[in-house]
Amino acid sequence: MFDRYTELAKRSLVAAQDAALSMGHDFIGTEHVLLGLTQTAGPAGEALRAQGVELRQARDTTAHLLEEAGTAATGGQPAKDALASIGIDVVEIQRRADDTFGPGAFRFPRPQFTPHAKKTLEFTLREAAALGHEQIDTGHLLLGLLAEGEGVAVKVLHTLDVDPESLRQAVLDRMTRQST
Amino acid sequence: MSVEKSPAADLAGQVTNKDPALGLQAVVALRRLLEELERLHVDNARDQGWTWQSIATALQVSRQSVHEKHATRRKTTGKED
Repeated sequence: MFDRYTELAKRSLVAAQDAALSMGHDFIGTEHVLLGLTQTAGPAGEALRAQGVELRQARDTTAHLLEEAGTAATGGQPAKDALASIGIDVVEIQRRADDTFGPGAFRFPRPQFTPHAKKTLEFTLREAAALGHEQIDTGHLLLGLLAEGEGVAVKVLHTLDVDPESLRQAVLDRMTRQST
Repeated sequence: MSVEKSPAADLAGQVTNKDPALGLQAVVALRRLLEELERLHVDNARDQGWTWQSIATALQVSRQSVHEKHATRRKTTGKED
């Protein structure tokens, strides 16, 4: 699925996962993808920063919006509790896995993409195809986010007074400049 | 003989709890745990030089399905060429 992604684009998705984990979320939503792009080099990060989107502010806004929406930031505790209720001790599994395979090899619950984030990845492919690009870079991911248009990411952008259309134009400009 | 409930009996009580919400939540969590354990052990097997076919045999699935599920992911994360 990600074999056509550039190194930077992959890195931005890893940053998205890290953002989700550090915020105590057990899912990767469009908002985390946006945070990942904001802190990664490449056309998307540049365009976002040029529009005044800064990581700290975007992160605070995200946390605030999710809190308002009643989204749990529990680090997957309910899933661990559910397993404890049928006699499975995830803390113990984690400890042994870390010992044997090194820290990070086992992660429970590993954040999964939300439906909106999955949609975003589909739109990302479409944006690349429409531009006739073989490789998928951070710019396509940002275009995908904007095209999807229904996730928390666009709400974050709206709260930060970013106009989606001018952001779209800004990232397209940077992508064409980059490829010429 | 003790009249206290043994831990096993206590556990059995929870597994068969009548509240569907609790039971289904445990099923979902267990599925996620299964996926994570599969990923961990497939990675370990590949790192130790196992072929996709031998992993598939051990997991009792087809080579194609195990390859589809894990090979691209491992390439993407730079664990494999």
